[in-house]
Amino acid sequence: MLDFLLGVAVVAAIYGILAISLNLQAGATGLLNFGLVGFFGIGAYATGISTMHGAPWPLGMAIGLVLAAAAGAAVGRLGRTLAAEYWAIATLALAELLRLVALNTDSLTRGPQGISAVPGFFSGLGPQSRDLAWLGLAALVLALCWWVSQRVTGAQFGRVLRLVREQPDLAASLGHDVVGAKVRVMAISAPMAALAGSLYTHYISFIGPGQLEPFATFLVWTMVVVGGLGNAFGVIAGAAIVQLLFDVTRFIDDVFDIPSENAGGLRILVVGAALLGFLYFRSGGLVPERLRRIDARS
Amino acid sequence: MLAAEGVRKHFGGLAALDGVSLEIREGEIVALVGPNGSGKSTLLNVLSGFLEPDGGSVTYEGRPIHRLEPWDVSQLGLRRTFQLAAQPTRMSLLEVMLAGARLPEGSSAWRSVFRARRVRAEQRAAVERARGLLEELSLLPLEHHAAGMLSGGQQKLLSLGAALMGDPRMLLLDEPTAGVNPTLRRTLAERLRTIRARGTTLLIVEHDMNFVAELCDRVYVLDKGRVIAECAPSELAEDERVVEAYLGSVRPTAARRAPGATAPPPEVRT
Amino acid sequence: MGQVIVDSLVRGSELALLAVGLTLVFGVLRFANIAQVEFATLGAYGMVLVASVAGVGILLQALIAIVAVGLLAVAVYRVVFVRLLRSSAAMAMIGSLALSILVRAVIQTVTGPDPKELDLPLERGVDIGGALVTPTQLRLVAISAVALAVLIAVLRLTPLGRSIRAVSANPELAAAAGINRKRITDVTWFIAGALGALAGVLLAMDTQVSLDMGFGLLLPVFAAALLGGLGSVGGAVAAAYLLALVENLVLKINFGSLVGGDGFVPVDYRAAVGFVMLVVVLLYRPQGLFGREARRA
Repeated sequence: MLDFLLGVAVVAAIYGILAISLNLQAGATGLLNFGLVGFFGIGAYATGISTMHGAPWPLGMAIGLVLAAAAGAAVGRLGRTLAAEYWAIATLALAELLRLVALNTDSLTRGPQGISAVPGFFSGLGPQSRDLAWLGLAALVLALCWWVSQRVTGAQFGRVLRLVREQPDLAASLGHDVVGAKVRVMAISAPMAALAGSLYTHYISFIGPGQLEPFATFLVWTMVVVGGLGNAFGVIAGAAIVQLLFDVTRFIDDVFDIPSENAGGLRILVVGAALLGFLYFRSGGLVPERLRRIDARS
Repeated sequence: MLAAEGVRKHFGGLAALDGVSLEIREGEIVALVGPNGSGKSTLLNVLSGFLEPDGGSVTYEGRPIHRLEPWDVSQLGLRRTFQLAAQPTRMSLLEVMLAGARLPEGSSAWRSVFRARRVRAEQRAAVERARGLLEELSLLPLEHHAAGMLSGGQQKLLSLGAALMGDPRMLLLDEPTAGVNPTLRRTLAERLRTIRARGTTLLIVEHDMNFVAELCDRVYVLDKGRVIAECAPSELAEDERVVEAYLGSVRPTAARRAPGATAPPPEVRT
Repeated sequence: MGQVIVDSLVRGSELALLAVGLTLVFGVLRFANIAQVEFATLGAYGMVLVASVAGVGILLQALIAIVAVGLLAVAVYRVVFVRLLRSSAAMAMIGSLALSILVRAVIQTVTGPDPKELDLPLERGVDIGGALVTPTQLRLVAISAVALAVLIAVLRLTPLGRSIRAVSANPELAAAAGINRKRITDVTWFIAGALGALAGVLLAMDTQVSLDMGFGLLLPVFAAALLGGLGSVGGAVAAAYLLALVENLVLKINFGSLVGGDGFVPVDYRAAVGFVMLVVVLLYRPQGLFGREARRA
């Protein structure tokens, strides 16, 4: 039981990083990124491919972060020509394109079977203390991302993002480069998703195209909406709750008398119902975004 | 200071601006009037970089600006407000005011993460300034409220305040009095005069002729995308073309006007 | 070459039926419904369900499924989207993504993840100009063409159709002219659901019934609707067939011969053709291939 909870906690912390990343885009800036998993994949495959060729892990991680920042900036630049809905579809298309490439370029990615035996961290420890160490690491990275997110959104930079989200023309009239703001927030948040991808790959020692399915993006969206779009603390709570929900329902076929293949659908159903339910009844999420109070002294 | 030369803009087959030329000199308060659909808002959009003209040029302080992005124009010190001054619902008045300030430290993501102290110091001064301006606009008691919840007139005042936070050398105001209550209108005229006295040039799109007569040095009259007159406010009613343009356009049905653009029917007085 | 044309007509028909639904709903509500493609999945599974509980002929099975999905689409609009659209189009779009996932999750929970086959007699393909075609494929192309022609005729010639186009072109003006927008929106959702289900039924007859049959078409369908210019039915139909043709041509052309060798685009990248076209079109012509005016929100 403790092992199970530890495992859930590690994965939840990694997904928390993804939630922070998506929250910077969708929550702070109003960018509907339906292809978040693509940036996760860039980090994951950069780590997988580099370590497969014997590179040390920091190199793989760094390559992933740089590539993701560049890709993020490029995708943000698309926001110049594309209205919000069109941009959302474009991100979904790009992430799917990346998944197809991962699936079909065997020489680079080993195709459908994926890259296994990626070296993990803390391999000298026993299973339980290893997970404990992992939890510490993931939580540390999560805290770091949260801190960056708080600093960035608390300053003028964040006010510009929020103004771009709600009244882009007003933002432009006050001298703020609307396209540049999108590019910069993508360049900051995409590497966070890549970092999550790299950590995840090291944690489970594997990356395959199956992990780049759009469902992963959908799971993060659920976390962000359940927690509270625009509230960094809320989305981390959302990540923990949704991940726990998703993992606990793993045992659903033990309780109910349904075939285990069908139970997979039930697990997805629970997540989908949570997202739709929150959108419908409580679109602000569990911890809604609040007006930021600026004191004369602060 | 700001000059337009033969500006043309077409939407489909419709010529919204058909060769508009005008010039505003430093320190002036100039009004831009004309019936609905005469091209005033389109002209303002071209002057502020929100629309690129199909032909002609716009120069500001001697440099061409008609190909610049709207934020670049704004950064040159030429700022504008909107006819529908919609404000964000999830930002406070104070936040909107700060967004109007130039805060180079806090605008950098890097420095807002790693130079938090400098960012705070820079912001502190701006907060003082913002509260002072809110006070003058009678909005200070609402400083922590959501900007989007204000009345239409208050949203107009707030956008004026946010624009002033950047110390603009010139301001383009799109119907600043629409929706503002009559008492505040008086103070607004007063306030705009003070702004001019502090060295800001003003171009104002306005329907309220009393307001124009009271405040402005010169008036450009726009009709069907052309400047049909340029005169002192007092000469307006004597100009036949102006009277004709207005009387030809006054429609009794208020329902046809876009929401928010609830200016009173133009009243021309001597 | 004959085979390319046949394959393109088959694929183009499926894409067109779904793309017109997407574009119609966008026209009336200014919101892109990601769950549109699930109407195909629902139509196909609906037919399986009808076949298992009622002893009726295949034509009636299909008809029941199509009408049922059409009505379901109206219900979903009334219950879910009316409320989400009140927040914003973005909320509605996220909601449609959730709904899309939910539809598949429910089906998987009830019937399991394995594909199903409709109980149809085996057919022998016929040779038309060197291309192998099954009678089912011929019917698929013909039925789609008839359905699309009827739709376009209804939109252009009947008062109802004109109302739909009026709302699509200018909602405020249409409201001022006394058009009942609520009824128009209901009708639009019914058409979107029914045509989507028709696509699913035809696809099921041609291949099989699977959970991802709709979602797999999401990007090509969006590509077709965007290429045609969101809101334009004629544009969506033309773009759907064009996209299908390009997909099949890209797979057939020997790009390697350009550099003096052999090199085909692997068939696995079939889906990528649509993605790439989509992104390129979004970049250079956000108003679509045939649109004149940018329809940016």
